[in-house]
Amino acid sequence: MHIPSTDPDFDAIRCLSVPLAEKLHAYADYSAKNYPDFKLLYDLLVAQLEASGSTEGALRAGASLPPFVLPDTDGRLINLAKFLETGPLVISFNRGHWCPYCRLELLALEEIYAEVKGLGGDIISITPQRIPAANQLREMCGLTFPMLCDIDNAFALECGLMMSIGAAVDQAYQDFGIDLANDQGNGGLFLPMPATYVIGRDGMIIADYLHPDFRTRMAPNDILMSLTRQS
Amino acid sequence: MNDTSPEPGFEAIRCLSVPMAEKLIAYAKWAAANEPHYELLYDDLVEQLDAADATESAPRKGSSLPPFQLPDTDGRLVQSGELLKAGPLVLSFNRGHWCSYCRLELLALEELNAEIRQLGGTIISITPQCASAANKLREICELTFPILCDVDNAYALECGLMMMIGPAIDRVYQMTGINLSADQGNEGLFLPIPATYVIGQDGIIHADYVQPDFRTRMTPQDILAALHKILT
Repeated sequence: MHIPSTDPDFDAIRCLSVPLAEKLHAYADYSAKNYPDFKLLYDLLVAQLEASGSTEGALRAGASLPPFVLPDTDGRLINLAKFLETGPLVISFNRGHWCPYCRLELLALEEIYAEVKGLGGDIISITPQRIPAANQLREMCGLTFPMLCDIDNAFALECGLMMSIGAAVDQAYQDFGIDLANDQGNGGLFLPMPATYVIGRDGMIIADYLHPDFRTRMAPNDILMSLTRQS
Repeated sequence: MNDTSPEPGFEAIRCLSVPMAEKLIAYAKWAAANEPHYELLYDDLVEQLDAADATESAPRKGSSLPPFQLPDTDGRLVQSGELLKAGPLVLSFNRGHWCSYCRLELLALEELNAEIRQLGGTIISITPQCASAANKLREICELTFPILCDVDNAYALECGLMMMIGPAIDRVYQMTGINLSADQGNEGLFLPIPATYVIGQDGIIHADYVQPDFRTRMTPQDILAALHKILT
Protein backbone atom coordinates (compact mmCIF):
# COMPACT_ATOMS: atom_id res chain seq x y z
CA MET A 1 0.00 0.00 0.00
CA HIS A 2 3.03 2.20 -0.04
CA ILE A 3 3.99 4.54 -2.86
CA PRO A 4 7.68 3.64 -3.18
CA SER A 5 8.12 0.96 -5.80
CA THR A 6 10.52 -0.84 -3.48
CA ASP A 7 7.98 -2.05 -0.95
CA PRO A 8 9.68 -5.39 -0.12
CA ASP A 9 6.40 -7.20 0.53
CA PHE A 10 4.87 -5.92 -2.66
CA ASP A 11 7.94 -7.03 -4.55
CA ALA A 12 7.87 -10.49 -2.96
CA ILE A 13 4.23 -10.91 -4.03
CA ARG A 14 4.89 -9.46 -7.48
CA CYS A 15 7.56 -12.10 -8.05
CA LEU A 16 5.45 -15.13 -7.04
CA SER A 17 5.00 -17.64 -9.85
CA VAL A 18 1.23 -17.63 -9.59
CA PRO A 19 -1.59 -16.15 -11.69
CA LEU A 20 -2.68 -12.53 -11.19
CA ALA A 21 -5.78 -13.50 -9.18
CA GLU A 22 -3.63 -15.25 -6.59
CA LYS A 23 -1.20 -12.36 -6.37
CA LEU A 24 -4.11 -10.00 -5.75
CA HIS A 25 -5.35 -12.35 -3.02
CA ALA A 26 -1.88 -12.56 -1.51
CA TYR A 27 -1.58 -8.81 -1.44
CA ALA A 28 -5.05 -8.38 0.09
CA ASP A 29 -4.08 -10.92 2.79
CA TYR A 30 -0.79 -9.18 3.43
CA SER A 31 -2.54 -5.81 3.59
CA ALA A 32 -5.24 -7.11 5.95
CA LYS A 33 -2.55 -8.26 8.34
CA ASN A 34 -0.32 -5.21 8.15
CA TYR A 35 -2.83 -2.44 7.47
CA PRO A 36 -6.01 -3.67 9.18
CA ASP A 37 -7.48 -0.14 9.12
CA PHE A 38 -7.30 -0.10 5.34
CA LYS A 39 -8.98 -3.47 5.12
CA LEU A 40 -11.87 -2.25 7.27
CA LEU A 41 -12.24 0.94 5.26
CA TYR A 42 -12.01 -0.87 1.95
CA ASP A 43 -14.48 -3.57 3.03
CA LEU A 44 -16.86 -0.83 4.12
CA LEU A 45 -16.44 1.08 0.86
CA VAL A 46 -17.04 -2.09 -1.18
CA ALA A 47 -20.16 -2.86 0.89
CA GLN A 48 -21.42 0.67 0.22
CA LEU A 49 -20.72 0.35 -3.50
CA GLU A 50 -22.61 -2.94 -3.54
CA ALA A 51 -25.53 -1.61 -1.52
CA SER A 52 -25.91 1.45 -3.69
CA GLY A 53 -25.82 -0.53 -6.93
CA SER A 54 -22.94 1.64 -8.05
CA THR A 55 -21.95 -0.64 -10.92
CA GLU A 56 -25.48 -0.70 -12.35
CA GLY A 57 -24.91 2.37 -14.51
CA ALA A 58 -21.63 1.04 -15.85
CA LEU A 59 -21.19 -0.10 -19.42
CA ARG A 60 -21.30 -3.88 -19.90
CA ALA A 61 -20.63 -6.40 -22.65
CA GLY A 62 -23.03 -5.79 -25.53
CA ALA A 63 -22.98 -2.01 -25.17
CA SER A 64 -20.82 0.14 -27.39
CA LEU A 65 -18.03 2.15 -25.86
CA PRO A 66 -18.45 5.93 -26.18
CA PRO A 67 -15.79 7.41 -28.45
CA PHE A 68 -12.97 9.24 -26.72
CA VAL A 69 -9.99 11.47 -27.43
CA LEU A 70 -7.56 11.52 -24.51
CA PRO A 71 -3.88 12.44 -24.22
CA ASP A 72 -1.23 9.86 -23.49
CA THR A 73 1.65 10.62 -21.14
CA ASP A 74 3.50 12.46 -23.95
CA GLY A 75 0.53 14.73 -24.58
CA ARG A 76 -0.33 12.98 -27.83
CA LEU A 77 -4.07 12.85 -28.43
CA ILE A 78 -5.29 9.28 -28.79
CA ASN A 79 -8.50 8.58 -30.60
CA LEU A 80 -10.45 5.38 -29.89
CA ALA A 81 -11.46 5.06 -33.54
CA LYS A 82 -7.80 5.08 -34.64
CA PHE A 83 -7.10 2.12 -32.36
CA LEU A 84 -10.09 0.16 -33.59
CA GLU A 85 -8.97 0.60 -37.21
CA THR A 86 -6.20 -1.88 -36.57
CA GLY A 87 -7.82 -4.37 -34.21
CA PRO A 88 -9.60 -5.07 -30.93
CA LEU A 89 -8.62 -3.13 -27.84
CA VAL A 90 -8.20 -4.01 -24.17
CA ILE A 91 -9.01 -1.03 -21.94
CA SER A 92 -8.06 -1.15 -18.29
CA PHE A 93 -9.27 1.61 -15.98
CA ASN A 94 -6.73 2.13 -13.24
CA ARG A 95 -6.52 4.17 -10.07
CA GLY A 96 -2.93 5.28 -9.79
CA HIS A 97 0.70 4.47 -9.13
CA TRP A 98 0.00 4.27 -5.38
CA CYS A 99 -2.43 1.34 -5.82
CA PRO A 100 -0.72 -2.08 -5.48
CA TYR A 101 -3.71 -3.88 -7.02
CA CYS A 102 -3.43 -1.68 -10.12
CA ARG A 103 0.30 -2.29 -10.28
CA LEU A 104 -0.15 -6.07 -10.08
CA GLU A 105 -2.81 -5.89 -12.79
CA LEU A 106 -0.71 -3.68 -15.07
CA LEU A 107 2.35 -5.91 -14.62
CA ALA A 108 0.19 -8.87 -15.69
CA LEU A 109 -1.14 -6.93 -18.68
CA GLU A 110 2.42 -6.07 -19.72
CA GLU A 111 3.25 -9.78 -19.60
CA ILE A 112 0.51 -10.60 -22.12
CA TYR A 113 1.08 -7.50 -24.26
CA ALA A 114 3.14 -9.31 -26.92
CA GLU A 115 0.49 -12.00 -27.20
CA VAL A 116 -2.29 -9.40 -27.44
CA LYS A 117 -0.35 -7.65 -30.22
CA GLY A 118 0.12 -11.03 -31.89
CA LEU A 119 -3.67 -11.36 -31.98
CA GLY A 120 -3.86 -7.96 -33.71
CA GLY A 121 -5.03 -6.23 -30.55
CA ASP A 122 -3.70 -3.51 -28.29
CA ILE A 123 -3.88 -2.50 -24.64
CA ILE A 124 -4.38 0.89 -23.04
CA SER A 125 -4.75 1.92 -19.44
CA ILE A 126 -6.83 4.95 -18.46
CA THR A 127 -6.18 6.73 -15.16
CA PRO A 128 -7.30 10.01 -13.59
CA GLN A 129 -3.69 10.93 -12.83
CA ARG A 130 -1.80 13.91 -14.17
CA ILE A 131 0.95 13.15 -16.68
CA PRO A 132 3.85 13.11 -14.17
CA ALA A 133 2.08 10.63 -11.83
CA ALA A 134 0.86 8.52 -14.75
CA ASN A 135 4.43 8.42 -16.05
CA GLN A 136 5.57 7.19 -12.65
CA LEU A 137 3.08 4.33 -12.88
CA ARG A 138 4.27 3.46 -16.37
CA GLU A 139 7.87 3.43 -15.19
CA MET A 140 7.19 1.43 -12.03
CA CYS A 141 5.52 -1.29 -14.09
CA GLY A 142 7.83 -1.06 -17.11
CA LEU A 143 4.80 -0.59 -19.34
CA THR A 144 5.24 -0.46 -23.10
CA PHE A 145 1.55 0.15 -23.86
CA PRO A 146 0.03 3.64 -23.59
CA MET A 147 -1.55 5.15 -20.53
CA LEU A 148 -4.15 7.82 -21.16
CA CYS A 149 -4.90 10.71 -18.80
CA ASP A 150 -8.57 11.09 -17.96
CA ILE A 151 -8.27 14.17 -15.76
CA ASP A 152 -11.30 14.75 -13.55
CA ASN A 153 -12.59 11.30 -14.58
CA ALA A 154 -14.61 12.76 -17.45
CA PHE A 155 -14.49 9.55 -19.52
CA ALA A 156 -14.87 7.25 -16.49
CA LEU A 157 -18.03 9.19 -15.64
CA GLU A 158 -19.33 8.69 -19.16
CA CYS A 159 -18.75 4.94 -18.75
CA GLY A 160 -20.55 4.96 -15.38
CA LEU A 161 -17.34 4.06 -13.54
CA MET A 162 -16.67 7.05 -11.33
CA MET A 163 -16.93 6.57 -7.61
CA SER A 164 -16.52 8.81 -4.59
CA ILE A 165 -13.94 7.51 -2.13
CA GLY A 166 -15.66 9.11 0.87
CA ALA A 167 -14.23 11.10 3.74
CA ALA A 168 -12.77 8.15 5.70
CA VAL A 169 -10.74 6.67 2.85
CA ASP A 170 -9.68 10.19 1.83
CA GLN A 171 -8.33 10.78 5.33
CA ALA A 172 -6.61 7.37 5.44
CA TYR A 173 -4.92 8.04 2.07
CA GLN A 174 -3.68 11.41 3.31
CA ASP A 175 -2.38 9.88 6.56
CA PHE A 176 -0.60 7.31 4.47
CA GLY A 177 1.06 9.86 2.20
CA ILE A 178 -1.12 9.09 -0.80
CA ASP A 179 -1.75 12.52 -2.26
CA LEU A 180 -4.62 12.08 -4.71
CA ALA A 181 -5.17 15.86 -4.91
CA ASN A 182 -1.66 16.41 -6.22
CA ASP A 183 -1.61 13.28 -8.39
CA GLN A 184 -4.92 14.16 -10.02
CA GLY A 185 -4.70 17.96 -10.04
CA ASN A 186 -8.09 18.39 -8.38
CA GLY A 187 -9.79 17.74 -5.03
CA GLY A 188 -8.80 14.07 -5.35
CA LEU A 189 -12.10 12.73 -4.00
CA PHE A 190 -12.97 10.50 -6.93
CA LEU A 191 -11.53 7.39 -8.50
CA PRO A 192 -12.62 5.20 -11.37
CA MET A 193 -13.84 1.70 -10.60
CA PRO A 194 -10.97 -0.28 -12.14
CA ALA A 195 -13.02 -2.02 -14.83
CA THR A 196 -11.50 -3.90 -17.74
CA TYR A 197 -13.14 -4.03 -21.15
CA VAL A 198 -12.33 -5.86 -24.35
CA ILE A 199 -13.60 -3.83 -27.30
CA GLY A 200 -14.25 -5.27 -30.75
CA ARG A 201 -13.39 -3.39 -33.90
CA ASP A 202 -17.02 -2.29 -34.22
CA GLY A 203 -16.68 -0.46 -30.91
CA MET A 204 -18.85 -3.00 -29.05
CA ILE A 205 -17.73 -4.27 -25.65
CA ILE A 206 -17.21 -8.00 -26.11
CA ALA A 207 -16.09 -8.77 -22.57
CA ASP A 208 -16.20 -6.84 -19.33
CA TYR A 209 -14.94 -7.17 -15.80
CA LEU A 210 -16.43 -4.87 -13.25
CA HIS A 211 -16.64 -5.70 -9.59
CA PRO A 212 -17.43 -3.38 -6.69
CA ASP A 213 -14.44 -4.96 -4.95
CA PHE A 214 -11.64 -3.07 -6.66
CA ARG A 215 -9.11 -5.53 -5.23
CA THR A 216 -10.06 -8.07 -7.91
CA ARG A 217 -9.32 -7.69 -11.62
CA MET A 218 -10.02 -9.43 -14.91
CA ALA A 219 -7.84 -12.50 -15.38
CA PRO A 220 -5.32 -12.24 -18.26
CA ASN A 221 -6.59 -15.61 -19.50
CA ASP A 222 -10.12 -14.27 -19.82
CA ILE A 223 -8.79 -11.30 -21.80
CA LEU A 224 -6.84 -13.57 -24.15
CA MET A 225 -9.81 -15.89 -24.57
CA SER A 226 -12.18 -13.10 -25.56
CA LEU A 227 -9.59 -11.77 -28.01
CA THR A 228 -9.09 -15.23 -29.52
CA ARG A 229 -12.84 -15.65 -29.93
CA GLN A 230 -12.94 -12.26 -31.65
CA SER A 231 -10.24 -13.06 -34.20
CA MET B 1 21.74 27.14 -27.52
CA ASN B 2 22.48 23.99 -25.59
CA ASP B 3 19.97 21.63 -24.07
CA THR B 4 21.41 22.38 -20.67
CA SER B 5 20.69 25.79 -19.21
CA PRO B 6 22.04 27.97 -17.71
CA GLU B 7 24.32 29.07 -20.47
CA PRO B 8 26.49 32.11 -19.55
CA GLY B 9 25.74 34.09 -22.70
CA PHE B 10 22.03 33.49 -22.35
CA GLU B 11 21.95 34.19 -18.62
CA ALA B 12 23.77 37.51 -19.01
CA ILE B 13 21.34 38.61 -21.72
CA ARG B 14 18.29 37.39 -19.85
CA CYS B 15 19.23 39.63 -16.90
CA LEU B 16 19.73 42.82 -18.94
CA SER B 17 17.35 45.63 -17.99
CA VAL B 18 16.16 46.21 -21.53
CA PRO B 19 12.95 45.36 -23.42
CA MET B 20 12.55 41.89 -24.85
CA ALA B 21 13.18 43.03 -28.44
CA GLU B 22 16.63 44.25 -27.42
CA LYS B 23 17.38 41.03 -25.58
CA LEU B 24 16.48 39.06 -28.70
CA ILE B 25 18.83 41.23 -30.77
CA ALA B 26 21.55 40.91 -28.14
CA TYR B 27 21.18 37.14 -28.14
CA ALA B 28 21.22 36.98 -31.95
CA LYS B 29 24.45 39.01 -31.92
CA TRP B 30 25.95 36.84 -29.22
CA ALA B 31 25.02 33.73 -31.18
CA ALA B 32 26.45 35.18 -34.40
CA ALA B 33 29.75 35.78 -32.62
CA ASN B 34 29.88 32.51 -30.71
CA GLU B 35 27.97 30.09 -32.89
CA PRO B 36 28.44 31.50 -36.41
CA HIS B 37 27.33 28.24 -38.06
CA TYR B 38 23.89 28.79 -36.55
CA GLU B 39 23.62 32.32 -37.86
CA LEU B 40 24.45 31.20 -41.40
CA LEU B 41 21.99 28.33 -41.29
CA TYR B 42 19.26 30.39 -39.68
CA ASP B 43 19.73 33.26 -42.16
CA ASP B 44 19.51 30.75 -44.97
CA LEU B 45 16.38 29.15 -43.55
CA VAL B 46 14.67 32.52 -43.07
CA GLU B 47 15.54 33.44 -46.65
CA GLN B 48 13.97 30.20 -47.86
CA LEU B 49 10.86 30.78 -45.77
CA ASP B 50 10.59 34.30 -47.18
CA ALA B 51 11.06 33.12 -50.75
CA ALA B 52 8.47 30.38 -50.32
CA ASP B 53 5.93 32.76 -48.71
CA ALA B 54 5.86 30.27 -45.88
CA THR B 55 3.64 32.43 -43.68
CA GLU B 56 1.14 33.23 -46.43
CA SER B 57 -1.62 30.91 -45.28
CA ALA B 58 -1.31 31.72 -41.57
CA PRO B 59 -4.35 33.40 -40.01
CA ARG B 60 -3.95 37.15 -39.64
CA LYS B 61 -5.61 40.06 -37.93
CA GLY B 62 -9.30 40.05 -38.80
CA SER B 63 -9.64 36.31 -39.40
CA SER B 64 -10.91 33.91 -36.80
CA LEU B 65 -8.63 31.54 -34.94
CA PRO B 66 -9.28 27.87 -35.75
CA PRO B 67 -10.67 26.30 -32.56
CA PHE B 68 -8.40 23.88 -30.70
CA GLN B 69 -8.57 21.22 -28.04
CA LEU B 70 -5.12 20.30 -26.75
CA PRO B 71 -3.73 18.83 -23.52
CA ASP B 72 -1.68 20.89 -21.11
CA THR B 73 1.42 19.42 -19.46
CA ASP B 74 -0.79 17.67 -16.85
CA GLY B 75 -2.87 15.97 -19.55
CA ARG B 76 -5.88 18.20 -18.98
CA LEU B 77 -7.70 18.96 -22.23
CA VAL B 78 -7.95 22.69 -22.86
CA GLN B 79 -10.44 24.12 -25.37
CA SER B 80 -10.05 27.50 -27.03
CA GLY B 81 -13.82 28.04 -26.71
CA GLU B 82 -13.68 27.60 -22.95
CA LEU B 83 -10.73 29.99 -22.64
CA LEU B 84 -12.46 32.64 -24.74
CA LYS B 85 -15.56 32.47 -22.54
CA ALA B 86 -13.41 33.89 -19.75
CA GLY B 87 -11.73 36.66 -21.74
CA PRO B 88 -9.32 37.49 -24.54
CA LEU B 89 -6.46 35.17 -25.32
CA VAL B 90 -2.76 35.67 -25.99
CA LEU B 91 -1.52 32.70 -27.97
CA SER B 92 2.19 32.16 -28.43
CA PHE B 93 3.51 29.37 -30.63
CA ASN B 94 6.89 28.23 -29.35
CA ARG B 95 9.58 25.87 -30.50
CA GLY B 96 10.94 24.25 -27.36
CA HIS B 97 12.97 24.50 -24.18
CA TRP B 98 16.19 24.39 -26.19
CA CYS B 99 15.36 27.62 -28.08
CA SER B 100 16.87 30.70 -26.45
CA TYR B 101 14.58 33.06 -28.36
CA CYS B 102 11.50 31.20 -27.10
CA ARG B 103 12.82 31.32 -23.56
CA LEU B 104 13.40 35.07 -23.75
CA GLU B 105 9.91 35.53 -25.16
CA LEU B 106 8.26 33.31 -22.55
CA LEU B 107 10.13 35.03 -19.72
CA ALA B 108 8.77 38.35 -21.02
CA LEU B 109 5.25 36.91 -21.27
CA GLU B 110 5.47 35.63 -17.70
CA GLU B 111 6.35 39.16 -16.60
CA LEU B 112 3.10 40.32 -18.24
CA ASN B 113 0.98 37.52 -16.87
CA ALA B 114 -0.34 39.30 -13.78
CA GLU B 115 -1.33 42.35 -15.80
CA ILE B 116 -3.02 40.24 -18.46
CA ARG B 117 -4.90 38.23 -15.84
CA GLN B 118 -6.07 41.50 -14.36
CA LEU B 119 -7.45 42.48 -17.75
CA GLY B 120 -9.36 39.17 -17.76
CA GLY B 121 -7.07 37.64 -20.36
CA THR B 122 -5.17 34.37 -20.55
CA ILE B 123 -1.77 33.53 -21.98
CA ILE B 124 -1.24 30.15 -23.62
CA SER B 125 1.91 28.78 -25.21
CA ILE B 126 1.65 25.97 -27.74
CA THR B 127 4.68 23.80 -28.52
CA PRO B 128 5.24 20.57 -30.44
CA GLN B 129 7.08 19.11 -27.45
CA CYS B 130 6.05 16.05 -25.47
CA ALA B 131 4.70 16.82 -22.01
CA SER B 132 7.98 16.08 -20.21
CA ALA B 133 10.02 18.44 -22.44
CA ALA B 134 7.27 21.07 -22.30
CA ASN B 135 7.36 20.79 -18.51
CA LYS B 136 11.09 21.46 -18.65
CA LEU B 137 10.39 24.66 -20.57
CA ARG B 138 7.78 25.69 -18.00
CA GLU B 139 10.26 25.08 -15.20
CA ILE B 140 13.19 26.84 -16.89
CA CYS B 141 11.06 29.95 -17.41
CA GLU B 142 9.04 29.47 -14.20
CA LEU B 143 5.84 29.88 -16.16
CA THR B 144 2.55 30.13 -14.33
CA PHE B 145 0.47 29.99 -17.52
CA PRO B 146 -0.14 26.72 -19.37
CA ILE B 147 1.84 25.21 -22.21
CA LEU B 148 -0.27 23.05 -24.49
CA CYS B 149 1.20 20.04 -26.28
CA ASP B 150 0.64 20.08 -30.03
CA VAL B 151 2.40 16.80 -30.71
CA ASP B 152 3.19 16.36 -34.43
CA ASN B 153 2.28 20.04 -35.02
CA ALA B 154 -1.30 19.16 -35.97
CA TYR B 155 -2.68 22.51 -34.82
CA ALA B 156 0.30 24.51 -36.12
CA LEU B 157 -0.31 22.88 -39.49
CA GLU B 158 -3.98 23.87 -39.35
CA CYS B 159 -2.82 27.45 -38.71
CA GLY B 160 -0.36 27.34 -41.62
CA LEU B 161 2.55 27.71 -39.21
CA MET B 162 4.40 24.45 -39.63
CA MET B 163 7.84 24.62 -41.19
CA MET B 164 10.47 22.09 -42.09
CA ILE B 165 13.88 22.69 -40.55
CA GLY B 166 15.81 20.99 -43.36
CA PRO B 167 18.67 18.49 -43.16
CA ALA B 168 21.45 21.01 -42.39
CA ILE B 169 19.80 22.45 -39.27
CA ASP B 170 18.64 18.98 -38.26
CA ARG B 171 22.26 17.87 -38.39
CA VAL B 172 23.55 20.87 -36.40
CA TYR B 173 20.83 20.45 -33.76
CA GLN B 174 21.88 16.84 -33.34
CA MET B 175 25.55 17.78 -33.13
CA THR B 176 24.89 20.37 -30.42
CA GLY B 177 22.80 17.99 -28.32
CA ILE B 178 19.38 19.32 -29.28
CA ASN B 179 17.31 16.19 -29.66
CA LEU B 180 14.09 17.26 -31.37
CA SER B 181 13.21 13.67 -32.07
CA ALA B 182 13.12 12.72 -28.37
CA ASP B 183 11.56 16.04 -27.33
CA GLN B 184 8.77 15.79 -29.89
CA GLY B 185 8.24 12.02 -29.94
CA ASN B 186 8.61 11.87 -33.73
CA GLU B 187 11.35 12.37 -36.33
CA GLY B 188 11.75 15.94 -35.16
CA LEU B 189 12.02 17.50 -38.61
CA PHE B 190 9.30 20.11 -38.15
CA LEU B 191 8.81 23.16 -35.97
CA PRO B 192 6.10 25.80 -35.74
CA ILE B 193 6.83 29.34 -36.87
CA PRO B 194 6.72 31.03 -33.45
CA ALA B 195 3.78 33.33 -34.17
CA THR B 196 1.90 35.31 -31.52
CA TYR B 197 -1.81 36.14 -31.68
CA VAL B 198 -4.08 38.28 -29.56
CA ILE B 199 -7.63 36.97 -29.87
CA GLY B 200 -10.86 38.63 -28.76
CA GLN B 201 -13.71 36.79 -27.06
CA ASP B 202 -15.44 36.57 -30.44
CA GLY B 203 -12.58 34.35 -31.61
CA ILE B 204 -11.32 37.02 -34.01
CA ILE B 205 -7.61 37.74 -34.17
CA HIS B 206 -7.08 41.37 -33.18
CA ALA B 207 -3.30 41.40 -33.50
CA ASP B 208 -0.82 39.01 -35.06
CA TYR B 209 2.90 38.63 -35.26
CA VAL B 210 3.96 36.13 -37.90
CA GLN B 211 7.56 36.59 -39.00
CA PRO B 212 9.61 34.13 -41.04
CA ASP B 213 12.58 35.28 -38.93
CA PHE B 214 11.87 33.28 -35.83
CA ARG B 215 14.50 35.25 -33.90
CA THR B 216 12.06 38.14 -33.53
CA ARG B 217 8.86 38.06 -31.51
CA MET B 218 5.81 40.22 -30.78
CA THR B 219 6.69 42.82 -28.18
CA PRO B 220 4.92 42.81 -24.81
CA GLN B 221 3.89 46.43 -25.42
CA ASP B 222 2.10 45.46 -28.64
CA ILE B 223 0.35 42.61 -26.84
CA LEU B 224 -0.87 44.91 -24.08
CA ALA B 225 -1.90 47.60 -26.56
CA ALA B 226 -3.96 45.04 -28.49
CA LEU B 227 -5.62 43.78 -25.31
CA HIS B 228 -6.49 47.29 -24.21
CA LYS B 229 -7.98 48.00 -27.62
CA ILE B 230 -10.10 44.85 -27.43
CA LEU B 231 -11.36 45.78 -24.00
CA THR B 232 -12.31 49.37 -24.77
